[in-house]
Order: sequence, then structure tokens, then C-alpha cells
Amino acid sequence: MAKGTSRLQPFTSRHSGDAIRVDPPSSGTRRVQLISLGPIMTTGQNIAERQSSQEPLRKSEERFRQMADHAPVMVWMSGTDRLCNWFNKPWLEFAGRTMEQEVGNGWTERVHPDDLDYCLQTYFDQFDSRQPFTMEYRLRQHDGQYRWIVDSGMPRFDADESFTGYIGSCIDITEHKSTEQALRSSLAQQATEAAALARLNSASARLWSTYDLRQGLDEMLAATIELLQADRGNVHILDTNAGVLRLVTQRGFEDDFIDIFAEVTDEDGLACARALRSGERIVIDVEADADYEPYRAVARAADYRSVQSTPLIGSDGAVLGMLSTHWRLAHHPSEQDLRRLDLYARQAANFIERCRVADALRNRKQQLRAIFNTVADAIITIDQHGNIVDLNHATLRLFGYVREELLGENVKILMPSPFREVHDQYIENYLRTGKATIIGIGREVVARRKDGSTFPAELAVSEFEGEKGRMFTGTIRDATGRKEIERHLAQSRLDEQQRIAQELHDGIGGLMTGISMIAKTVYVELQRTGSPQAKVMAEVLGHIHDAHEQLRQVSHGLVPVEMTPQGLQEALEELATRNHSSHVQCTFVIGQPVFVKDGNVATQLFFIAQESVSNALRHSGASQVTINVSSLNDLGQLTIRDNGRGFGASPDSFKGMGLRTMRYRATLIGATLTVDSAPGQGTTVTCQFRKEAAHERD
Amino acid sequence: MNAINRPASSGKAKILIVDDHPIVRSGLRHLIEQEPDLEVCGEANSVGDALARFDEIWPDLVLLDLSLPDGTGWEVIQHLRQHWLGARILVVSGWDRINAADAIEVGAMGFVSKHDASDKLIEAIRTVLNDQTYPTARSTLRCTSWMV
Repeated sequence: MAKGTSRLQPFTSRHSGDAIRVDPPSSGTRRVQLISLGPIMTTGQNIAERQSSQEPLRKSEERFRQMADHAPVMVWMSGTDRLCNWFNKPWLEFAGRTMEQEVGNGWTERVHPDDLDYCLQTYFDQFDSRQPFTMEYRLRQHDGQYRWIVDSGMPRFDADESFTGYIGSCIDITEHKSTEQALRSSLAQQATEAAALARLNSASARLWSTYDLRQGLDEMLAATIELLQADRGNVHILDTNAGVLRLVTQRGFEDDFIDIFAEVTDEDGLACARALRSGERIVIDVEADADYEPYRAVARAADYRSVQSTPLIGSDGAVLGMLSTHWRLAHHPSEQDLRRLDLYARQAANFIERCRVADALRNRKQQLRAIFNTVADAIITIDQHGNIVDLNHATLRLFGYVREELLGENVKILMPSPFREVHDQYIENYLRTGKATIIGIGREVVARRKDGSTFPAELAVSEFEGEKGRMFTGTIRDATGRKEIERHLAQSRLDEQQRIAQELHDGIGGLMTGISMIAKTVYVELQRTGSPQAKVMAEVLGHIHDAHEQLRQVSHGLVPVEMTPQGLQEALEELATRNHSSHVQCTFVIGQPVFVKDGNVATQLFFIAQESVSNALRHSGASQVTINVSSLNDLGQLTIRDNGRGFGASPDSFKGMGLRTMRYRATLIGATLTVDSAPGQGTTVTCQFRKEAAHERD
Repeated sequence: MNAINRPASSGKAKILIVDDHPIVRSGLRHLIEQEPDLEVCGEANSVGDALARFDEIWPDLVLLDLSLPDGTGWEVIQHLRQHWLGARILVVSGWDRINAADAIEVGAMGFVSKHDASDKLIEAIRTVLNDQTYPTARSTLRCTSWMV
């Protein structure tokens, strides 16, 4: 019973009756005692009357005492003078004393000294005000052991309502008290545990909401100090390369001591070093631990007596660091504290790993972003609607835009007509059919700058599943330089071919011309003289002629287009003438003449025309093929149209038709090539070449 | 501009051969000298040489190659046309893309491909000496599609 805690309860009493019902305190386990007091409580009668009624009274008292002696409770009575004047048998047995020893104030000798004041104070207070009471106190029993009892007292009144003293009953509640104490202790422990867990949860939550390693380590240390009720502490991170623990944060230590903990090897005797060696937590009483002797002076100066170091273990089992706390006084954390510390240490280790992963990712991301922004190629990411969601610096450089002008815009803004008009359709077709024409394949395209100028580009597209659906990343490389080199190479090749053709023509061709004429002279002479050798010479002449013809064809094949402004027209005219037959009407039609000075452009256009005518004759069954060169706005345009069977839109239909070669030739001269064809409706190959490469004769 | 006042001669038509290939000149000479009414009165192997020899010889006809080391036969034609009205020039060229129309347009009177020279040269020479163009038919002139 807590001292000073009154356990008074509102008792129900019947003063005029012969029975009093006493309700024990609510915490009691034995609840009801019915005690018949009867006439023994009557007082105030004159002696004569008392004597006349003494016999019944005596008998009644005798009955009460017999009953009380057999009651399962201890019963006492007191008189108007507050002094106890009677105890029942269970009381005396409990006390191991006689009635004489107990009456008066004798019983108070057995009340626990700590409870006596409270006990008497309660008794006297209630006695004086004639109020019922209940109190709990420790009472020594016969074997010297103190037992908790609950004592309930009631004022007694006689038939005349005169106060005659108190009667009380006592129950041994030691067991109940122990149980209650244990329960209370358990509840307190649970409350402590719950509070500690709440602190742990709170600390964990704070840690999880932290993304900065330094800040998290500070938080980690503060939380651990709080969890363990420590006075100071520090955190080390293991530098695996150097094999040392490096101090990363501390609390409560003066600057003078920081150096001591700044770098710790596993050969040191400090707690964290020993924990690092063993891989397990260590708790040290500085004054009691022999191995800590070298550091004892430091510990005293730093004002700590106990220290614990708990390794922070990573997911792979390796030590990441050390979490140490220090107490000014000798202290060994409870098992519960250490369990909570273990829980927290795991979270702390997770946090460190998370930060490291995040740091690595951040570094990687920054690295990728740096690469992303320093590569010479434009890299653009679009969503499935074609809208630009990301781009690098090269994109801005290459296309002449500022970032804000492109983000969110449809990527077709970077394409010239006619590609920009059909790009959405391309994406839609791909999303619907899954058939890729560029993704994973790559192709050469024409790109458009902000100022409207265009340039050849190589485009490679990859696809990935983003947070907002399918995304496409395109890498665009300005192919101007490469095209220039290719053009230069092509020009060099043409020059070389022309030189060889010239050599063949002027050198060997001239030689054969001369030989042919001399041979002809000899032949005529032989024939005139009737020589039989004339026939042989005729044969020689024939061979010379054939050889000359072959030479001419080789020479012609090397330079199909004469290097003159009108060379293309002449070559195309010749192409039409050469392929004209009774089955196929092949014509060359020219509107406003377009003269091409650049021999490379003229030659590539000629080859495109030659390939197209060849396709028409070999594959389409056409009866009419028309070659046309015209000027269209700023462009020159070469068109080869046939009335053959045409082919479908499937890219497979193009295979074997030299389309790739034609496209290559077109891009080589900065031209665009389109092929329009449908089954039964013929084929039209259109090549638009840039005006600067074409020169019109006014 | 000068009119050619051809000097009195043996009655053979005098021909100047202009070609930078000795063997071609030799071949042409052999073909021509088979003809009793034709003679090679000189040879030249460059533009400069051709003009000098022309001034010196005043040939009845110049057999002219277009590809010369110091220029082209077009330059020779232009020069002769400017200075010697009536000079007969027959182009003998290995470039069969050059056709008679081109040659006549700039002032020559005929064109023979070297490829066909063995068979057609004498005929062409006689035609031009008769102040006619060779070939006479213009069937090989430009594609009629131009006029479409």
C-alpha cells in the first residue's frame, strides 16, 4: 500500500440493525463478511438493567466470539477510547501472540514502521469522525514476515444510537498485493518499453526521411544516445581501403578528445576497435576492463565511465561502421535497450547503404548527365505522343533552339517537310503494329534547324518503358561532315575514274585509232593488189575494231556523265535512247532545262535514274518509262515514272530494288528520295536535289 | 577576217592533220595518201602548232582532234572562224558524245568519230571539200523531246 493513500470507501451501514455489512475495497478478493453484532453492542443502560439483562448479553457475546473465532477473517474491536479491546482467534494466530499482548496498542508493534503513521492517522481521523474506513498496511505475522492486509473498520452504535467503538475485519492481501505489484511493475515496464519503442520508431522514421548521409549520421547518433540514455557518443565509418574507422560525427566530447577517436585501427584498444575486430558489440566498464587501461586516463579526462560500441553491419555481412555511446557513470544497458539498439543499428546500416547507393546513383546520374550534355550528338527523348521530354546541350547547339523552346514540343519541329507531316503517323503505326522502321535500325534523315535550314543526319532510336508509358530516345548525329567527306571521296573517285577514262581514251584509244587506220591502209592496199593477205588484214581490222569498242565501253562506263553543265541531260537522254525499244517507250522529257555543274551530283542523279529505269524494265513490266528533269521552286527535281505493276507499301517490297543504294546516293548529294508506288498503279521515283548543287540556265 | 586564197597546187587537196598522237597522225596520213586526189601537207600536235601551220600552209581542209595538250580543238575552230573565213574543218574526235551538231554549231563543217574513222574518214573529207557538212543527215541531232 502506498503510504498516505487512503483507501476509504463509501461504506453502507445500518446503525439500528443487528447486522452490518462491510464491503471490502474493490481490489479485494474476498468480498463479503456478515458479522452479527446483536445485543453486545448495546450500551448506556443502568447497571441494574445491565445486570438484569447480563445473561442474554453474555450469551450473545459468547455466540459472536465463537462465530468470529471461526470466521475466515481477522476481527478486532475497539472501545470509545480508540484502544482495541478484543481480537478474534484468526488474528491472534496470525500474530502468534496472546490477547493481552495485542489489546490496547499492542497490535501496533507489528505494523510495519513505514506504514504505522499512515495507519494510525487514518484510524484516528476516521474514528474521531465516526466514519467507516478501509486501509492497507503491512502487518508482521507470527514468523516475522510482514503481510499486506486490508483493514476495514466500522463505528459501532448501540440501540440508543450511542457510539460504542469500532469493529474491524482484516484480510491478508499479500498475494493479491504481490500480483498487483507485479502487474503494476509489468505495466510500468510495458509503458517504458512502449515509450522506448515509440522513440525507436520515431528515430527510425526520422532516419528514413533523411537522404543526406551527414545529416543522417548526426540523427543516428542523437537517436542512439536518446535510446540508451547515454551522455555522449560517436559514429565511425569504416574506410575499407585504409582499413581504419574514421570518425564522422560525435556528441558531447570536447575538441581535445576528437583527435583520439578520429582514426581508429582494429589494433587499437578502444571499444570501437575491439568491436571491429570481433564484429560484435562490446560494452566496457572503463575502470573494470583491464584491456582499457591504456585509455583509462583519456576516458577519465573525457568524463566517461562506460562505453558500448555496436558494429553497423551491411547487407553483405561486412562492417560498415561503428555506433558508440558513452556514459558518465558505470552503466550496462539492459537487454531490452540492447535489443532496441540492435534494431536501430540494422536500420542505421541500411541507411548508410541506402545513402551510398543513392550517392553512387547520383554520381552515376551526374556522370551520365555530363556525358549526355557533352556528347557531340543530339540526344532527345520523346513520349509516345512525340512530345519532347528531355534533350541534351548538343541538341540545342545542333538545332539552334533554347531548351524551353523545345521541351514539350512535338519532335517533328526538328524535321523538314514532308517528314514532319507524317511523323505522328509513324509513331502511331509503330505503336499499333509493333513494326519498326527506324527503332533499332537507324537511318539517315534530313533534320531542320530553327532557322529553317536543313542538314543530313544519322538517326538511331531506342525504346524504353518509362513512368508515363513508352518512351523513345533518339540520337541524332550531324552527318554534314561525313557527307562532305563522302562527297569528296565520291568526287575523288569520279575524278580518278575520269582520269582513267581519259587515259584509256586518249592513250590506248588514240593508239588503237592510229593502228586501226594504218591497218585499214594496209588492207586497202592488199585488196587493191589482189593479195590473199587482204582477208587476214580484214580479220585484224575486225579485232582492232572490237577491242576499240570494248575500250570505248569501259571508258564510257567509268564516266557515264560528261563533266559539263549539260552532261546530266545528255546522259539521261542517252539513257532513254539506250533503253528505248519496240516493247518499251523510254523517253526523256525536260521542261525548263536544269544544268548541273557539280559532276558528282550529276553522276549520282544519273545512277539513280539508271537504277530506276532498270527496276522498271526488269521488275515492273512497264511499257512506258519517262525520265524527267525539272526545276521546282528552289530545288531541282529528277523524276522517273513508269506505268508498270507497282508494288505494295511493305518495306519488303523494296528489297532487291536497289532502293537503299538510291537513298544512299541521294543523301550523298544532300538530296531527298521518295518512292511512290501502289499495286497496278506504276512507280514514281522522285529525287529532289538542292538548288546550290543545281544551276539553272536563264 | 581573211578569205582563203588557196595557192596553186598539184591539184590534190591539201590536208593539215592536227592530233597530238603520232600514231593517229600516222594512221590518218596513210588513209589519206591512199587517195590520189588528197595529200597531207602538214601535221600539228597542239593548238599553237595548228594555227602556225595553218598560216604557213593554208590547207584545203583541217582534220582536227578536240583534245590537245595546250587546249582544245574548239579554240582552233574559233580562231580559224574568226580569222579565216572559209576554212574547212573536219573534227575527228575520240569522244563520241561530241556529235556533229556540236561541232557544226561552233564552226566546223563535219564530225567523224575516231572509232569510225577507218571507214568514214575519206567520205567525210570529200564531203567537206565539197563545202558540205558531214554527216549530211541530221538524224543524230538532239532529242526531239526538248521541243515537246
